[in-house]
Amino acid sequence: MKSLQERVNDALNSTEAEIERAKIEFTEELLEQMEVQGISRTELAKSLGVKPARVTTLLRGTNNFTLETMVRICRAIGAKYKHYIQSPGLVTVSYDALVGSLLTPSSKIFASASILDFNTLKTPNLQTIYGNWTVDAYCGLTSNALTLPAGGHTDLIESGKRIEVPKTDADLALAA
Amino acid sequence: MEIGLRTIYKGSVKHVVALEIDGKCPASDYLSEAEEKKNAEYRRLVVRIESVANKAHFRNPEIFNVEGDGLYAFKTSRGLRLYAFYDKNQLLIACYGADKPKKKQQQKDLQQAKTWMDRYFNAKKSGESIQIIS
Repeated sequence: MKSLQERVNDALNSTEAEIERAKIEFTEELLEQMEVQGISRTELAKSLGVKPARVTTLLRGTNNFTLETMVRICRAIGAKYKHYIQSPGLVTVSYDALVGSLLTPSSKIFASASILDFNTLKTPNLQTIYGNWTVDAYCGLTSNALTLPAGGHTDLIESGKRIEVPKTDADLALAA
Repeated sequence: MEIGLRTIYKGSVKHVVALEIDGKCPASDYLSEAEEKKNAEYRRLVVRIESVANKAHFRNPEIFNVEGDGLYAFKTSRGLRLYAFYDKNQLLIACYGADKPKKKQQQKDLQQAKTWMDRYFNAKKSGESIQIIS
């Protein structure tokens, strides 16, 4: 009999899960960009010419975003919609999982032009970070993710002690 | 008292587990029931768990909401609710599950979740050993 974790992993490895994941990635990047720019849901609704309830519905992820909607949303916050196709064998890791974890001086980070935007937006210190990671691309609105070799990602998880997370949901709740 | 933490998903930032006390694991039971009876919605829920586990600060309250008293809820739009709490920053412990409640029921569900959370922290305080089950 399969364990709970195995059953969850099975469910995560489905097309439906991939679709749900894509929706969540889009809404999270949207919310992050709104936070950075100080745009409220009401303001976004106004820019889009819809009622605030429509924005809530979008964030719930029940709808199937069309490319048209995604482009309109990005334009409404002054951003541009970009997408990328992740090559087989790579995984995407959220930026906040990486802070402090790439500080291994033994290897090199391969930066594409995209990483410059990432550095500017997120942290100038990333330019001094070295690791055996290949930066392939960044996705979406705010480049809050790096694409890394799958093996490296596993190492990252296993070396959990080295991961330093600046602020988590729990920290923010305590601060509120 | 026997306490176990059953792994649901191990993300790059957070380890999400289901709380089991004396052989009872309401979060795991709820997930199993959802998997059987509402499979499409169950898949949505587990992707949401995965997404929260892979980000330090998850922003969308329509998916992962602060419920107060240290409790959080993983939510799906068609009614699944899995209540959880943090032990330190990276261990997220699911303790109770219930379908989307009406207002009166909501307090009861939160109270149930809080009871399980309190039992966990009290046991931990009194030095009970806690086993992580993969």
